[in-house]
Amino acid sequence: MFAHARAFFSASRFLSLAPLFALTAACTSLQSVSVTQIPSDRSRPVRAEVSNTALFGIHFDNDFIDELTPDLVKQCPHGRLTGILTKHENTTYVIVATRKVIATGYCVYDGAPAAASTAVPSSRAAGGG
Amino acid sequence: MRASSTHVSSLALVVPLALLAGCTTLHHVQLDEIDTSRGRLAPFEVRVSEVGINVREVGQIASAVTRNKTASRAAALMALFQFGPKTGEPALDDRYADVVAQAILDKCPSGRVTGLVSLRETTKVYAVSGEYVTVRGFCIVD
Repeated sequence: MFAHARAFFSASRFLSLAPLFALTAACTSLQSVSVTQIPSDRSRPVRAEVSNTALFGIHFDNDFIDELTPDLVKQCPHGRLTGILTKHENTTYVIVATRKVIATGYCVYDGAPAAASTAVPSSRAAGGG
Repeated sequence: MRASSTHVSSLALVVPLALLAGCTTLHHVQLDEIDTSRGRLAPFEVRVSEVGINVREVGQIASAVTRNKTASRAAALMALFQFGPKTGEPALDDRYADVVAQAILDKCPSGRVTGLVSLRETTKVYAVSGEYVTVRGFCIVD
């Protein structure tokens, strides 16, 4: 009896079933969503994404967020980023959990778009925080 | 025998490390508009916090220490008052976040701020937690 149970829960059987569990389990959750004012000029979409993976979902800091703003600013030098949709989601892969923050928005140049689009990225000034 | 003793020593090392390090949770992220066209940007950060307490876990610790289940039973009863949706652990005072706006103005007296990133975080060390609200952004200085 005990031997049968042991055989059933053997590592090889578990491994063979793991992909099935991974495919059938509802493993993504949406943690938070926010959006800012959407501009009329939506010709320059921008997108940035940061993620952080940890075993058993045990994270020791939230520093992975820090890259998000510089990444967005790099895509819109000397412009205005607006219509920013921020999505924070968690995905679990059996014993590994990934946190992901995705920000999408639009780059708007209020002045002269042609001159502004050739501007040099200023990630250094903006990325200090 | 040797393998099992190695496992035990590994566990003895890992468990206190996990308890000491604290598990961090990110509950909410929000990005505000980023305007890099108005002048020089000076980064700032504002963080406010409060101590969160998980009554049920406090009771479990008390029961483990005293070897008496009364504490955990009483804590379980008290925990009923903490029922419901929440981010992090319940705190004794939830007004700690009210000062964030004033704290931003202290960092940036002109009030011309952009690129605000608002975070709601928790760092948990078993029964006790640090409940944080962090706001990072840029002050337009020119």
